[in-house]
Amino acid sequence: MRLKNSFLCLLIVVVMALVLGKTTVQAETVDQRPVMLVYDSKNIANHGDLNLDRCQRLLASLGLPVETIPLSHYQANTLKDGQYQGVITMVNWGQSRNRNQAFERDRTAFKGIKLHIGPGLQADERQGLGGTFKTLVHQQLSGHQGRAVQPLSTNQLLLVNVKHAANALSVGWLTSQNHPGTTYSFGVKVANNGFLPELSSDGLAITLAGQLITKLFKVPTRLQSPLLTITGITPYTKSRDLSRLIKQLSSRGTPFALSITSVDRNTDLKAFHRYTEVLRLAEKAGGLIFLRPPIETGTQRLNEKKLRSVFQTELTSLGADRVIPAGISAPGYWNRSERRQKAVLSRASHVILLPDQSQRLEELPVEPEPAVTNSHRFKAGLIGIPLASLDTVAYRSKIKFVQPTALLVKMPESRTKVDQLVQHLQDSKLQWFDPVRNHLKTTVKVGSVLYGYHSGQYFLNHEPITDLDASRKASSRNDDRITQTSWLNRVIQWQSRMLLWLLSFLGLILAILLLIGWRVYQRKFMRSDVKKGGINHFK
Amino acid sequence: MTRVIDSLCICQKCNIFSLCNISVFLLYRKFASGNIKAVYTDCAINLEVLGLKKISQVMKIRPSMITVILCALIVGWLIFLKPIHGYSDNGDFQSLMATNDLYRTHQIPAGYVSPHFGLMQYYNPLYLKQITAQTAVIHIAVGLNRLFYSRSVFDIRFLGAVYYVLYLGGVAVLARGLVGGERRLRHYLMAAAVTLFVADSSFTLYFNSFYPQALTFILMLYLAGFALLIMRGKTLNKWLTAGLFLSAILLLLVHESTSLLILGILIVSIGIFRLPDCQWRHGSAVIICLLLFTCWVSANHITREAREMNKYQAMTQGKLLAAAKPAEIAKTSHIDGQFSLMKGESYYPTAYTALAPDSDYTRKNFTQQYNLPWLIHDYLTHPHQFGLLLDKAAKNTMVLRPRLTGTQEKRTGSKPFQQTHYFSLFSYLAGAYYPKTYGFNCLLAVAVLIIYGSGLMRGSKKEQQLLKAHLWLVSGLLSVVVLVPPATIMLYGTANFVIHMLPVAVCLSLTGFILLSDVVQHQLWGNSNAT
Repeated sequence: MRLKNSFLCLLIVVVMALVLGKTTVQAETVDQRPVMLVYDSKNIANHGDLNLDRCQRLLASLGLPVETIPLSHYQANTLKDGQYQGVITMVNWGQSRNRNQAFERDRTAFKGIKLHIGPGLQADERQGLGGTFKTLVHQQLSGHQGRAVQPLSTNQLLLVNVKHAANALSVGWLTSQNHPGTTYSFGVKVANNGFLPELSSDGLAITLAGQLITKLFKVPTRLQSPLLTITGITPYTKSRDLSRLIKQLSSRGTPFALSITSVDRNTDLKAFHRYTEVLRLAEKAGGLIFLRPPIETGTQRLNEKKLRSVFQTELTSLGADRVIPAGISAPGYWNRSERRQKAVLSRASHVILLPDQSQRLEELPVEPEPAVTNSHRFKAGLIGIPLASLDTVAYRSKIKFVQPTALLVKMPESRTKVDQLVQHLQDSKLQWFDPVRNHLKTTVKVGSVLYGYHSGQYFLNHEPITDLDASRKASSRNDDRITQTSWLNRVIQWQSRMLLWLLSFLGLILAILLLIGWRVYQRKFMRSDVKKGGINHFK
Repeated sequence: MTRVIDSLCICQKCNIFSLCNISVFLLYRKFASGNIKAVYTDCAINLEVLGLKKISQVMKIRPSMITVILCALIVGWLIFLKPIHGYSDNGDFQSLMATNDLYRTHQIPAGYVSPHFGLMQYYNPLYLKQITAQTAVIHIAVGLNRLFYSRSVFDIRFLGAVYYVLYLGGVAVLARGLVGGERRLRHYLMAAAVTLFVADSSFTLYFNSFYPQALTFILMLYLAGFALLIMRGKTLNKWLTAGLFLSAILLLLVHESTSLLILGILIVSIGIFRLPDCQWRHGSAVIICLLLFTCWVSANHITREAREMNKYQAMTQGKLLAAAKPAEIAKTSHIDGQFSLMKGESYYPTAYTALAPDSDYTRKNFTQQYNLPWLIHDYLTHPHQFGLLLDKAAKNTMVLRPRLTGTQEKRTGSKPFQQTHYFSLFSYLAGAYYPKTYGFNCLLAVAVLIIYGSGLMRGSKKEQQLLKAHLWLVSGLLSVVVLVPPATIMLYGTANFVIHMLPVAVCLSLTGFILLSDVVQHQLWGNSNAT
């Protein structure tokens, strides 16, 4: 009997373990299905393309893969329950009233998560959300998240939820300066349906949108501090200013990251080593390096293979000088392009997604983006938000960041501006992400080399690097390039030079002989001729 | 039948095959039946008899005409017949097209020639922003296109056709000037050699493109041809002289870099004005002032962007490229030594760059921190670096095809950036075997001048006149060969050599042909009675 009891206990334990184990495994597997993002128009004239890019980056930072489709390109029966986690309808250009019946029909039938951003709420969406909506015209509104308040920069039409449905959950709220008493909820969640009035460039609006999406898509997140990231650092940045900034930040105990660009040529020049020297200074001060792929210019774009080789050259030349990037930072469109994604972004575990440059209507893109794009997810994607977008927030330290965020600051151009920036950061009272305290672990793989970072320690192919300056000392001797020409080239050079000398020597002799000859000729024959000619002439 | 014989007599008089055919055709029209057979047989006999004689006497076509006909056939086949050939865009077309109301209709991958362009229909703010001599040619081509083909699509062959007609005129003038009107065997050989040069596909492929080199090449043919013809004539022909100065003025206006040819043009003009029967003594000052003014306009009438580009590349692809330790520029200027990393960079990088050359940061910290006097002073203190760059220029002088271009249309199975080898013997030989040092060019210039100088000392008075004029012409051409490379390096660096060095290559070749023609026609060495 005892044996039987103990066997039963064992059985129960085993079953329990199995069941529990299975559930934990299930909890860990993340939904791989993408989110469909359907937008009506890019509305480039009003920078609607930037809103779209912001939404894509926000989703990527929350670990959600995105498939972006313009409304006009949507084909019937694309949106199916099994294939997409959810659908986001983004209206960038309310006045245009673009409709696609097939999409609306499919969306009504779709049972997954639905989120609407912007005006132009359709009947099926209104039904899902319940409550009543109202369009606010030209009102100065402020967004609230807890105690943090920010006046919204938009003063266009804004659709807001006036009356909630019974089971509605609101995220953040809006107050109007015209009517201080009334408040509207910012983000609304009703079961599987969500609504956001806008996704503007205001920092607070982005964090609120992040919170709503987290709740809607049930993304497991925890509050995290933003990473201070200095952008726009190039090899041509004044090294004195950069090292001053690094020293001041480290002396104040502010953890930081640098988004740097490098060069793939001339890496043997002294100037390049001077650049890496400053970057090593940053590494030693606890700063993280995020390599930014070079700026694309000109009329041609490299294919995946060439792009990869450019990127590899940059990484290798930096690595040779012991500048170990912790990750990659790139504008949002790099994540939408398959080629750039594969060649560069997929190499790193941590990617900072920087905002796109605003397109200009009169400027045709060199390489038009395909209509349907896929944004990928990373082990850890960080959305880059300019720190300036939080400048107008009152009680800044109270902002909650649910998505991994990098707050971007442009590298100042002069010494006084460096001091001003450090002072500004001091005043902002934000709690910054500390890679050491948070046990950050990153990898960047390039070719056969694996660069690693783990709470302050750098690794090269899993081997810890003890002295960052070690390789530098060895290589400092070859700073000035010595071009070794082959003996054949030297012979040819020497030969051509000798030939020149010989020719000029012969030419000189020829000229002298010619002169002597001319003299002799003149003495013997010309004198009489000249006299004759002269006389004839005078005649 | 007597009439038929009459016509045949005329036919014998003219002695030319084609005219024969025409007469036969006329006869056919006249006598619709019966006599045609007789006409054909008579004509055939006629030709057979003629075929026995020496070609030169039979054909009665001047050697210069042969050059023109050969060029017309060789070049016409290359640029007009499908698949057409030309040079593909390496990024230079954009601004030229925009200022002439043209646009790219569809994305053609790099390395292929695009046969069609769109004609803008609406207001274009860039229209005629930059007027050069090329603008006129493009406008004529667009006008013809509108008249005969389409109002919305531009076929590049219309541009090719305008260039083609201009080119054949230039070839005629040059060949006549070089070879003369005589019909000896050596003149025919000379004509063949000239054909080898002027019909080389490296030059003629430019006709189906928007590169300024096409017009530079054509106008240089006119310039040298007119100068030779004027010098050949017994009296100064005012029409030829007007043609010479018109082509000189147009040549100066083709591109800002062709304004550097002013010195050569001035020397040639002095040679013309010193001809004994020149009555333009007062007009000469006016013409010289006009030339100088045109040069000034051409050199300064460029966009701010082009100016920035030239300045930037003069540094990155000039000074920085030559210096062993480029960071040392920081010692003599206010430029941060870090900018030495821009060594070799182009103003329009192919695809990627760490910092855009046209950004405000670069402008403020790099481009605005130096100027031409500083650059000249720096080269003077580092003559070795300048020597390196001059040799680089000499090495690229005979590279006549632009880099990163293809010459073919996109077809199934064709690869991008493929270049045709059609009729390119001259450019191949010149590119492979011509010595590649600047010093050699200088020595060659001295040697040629010595040859002409020594020729001048002997020879009769009449020949002396021609030789003296040729000496001026040759020294004008050689001054371009010697002086344009250093000026180019100062102003543009080693960038875009293919545009900047084309006049040098053409001048060098023309000098060679003038020398050859003078030797062949016994104007330099004795035996002068032979001519």
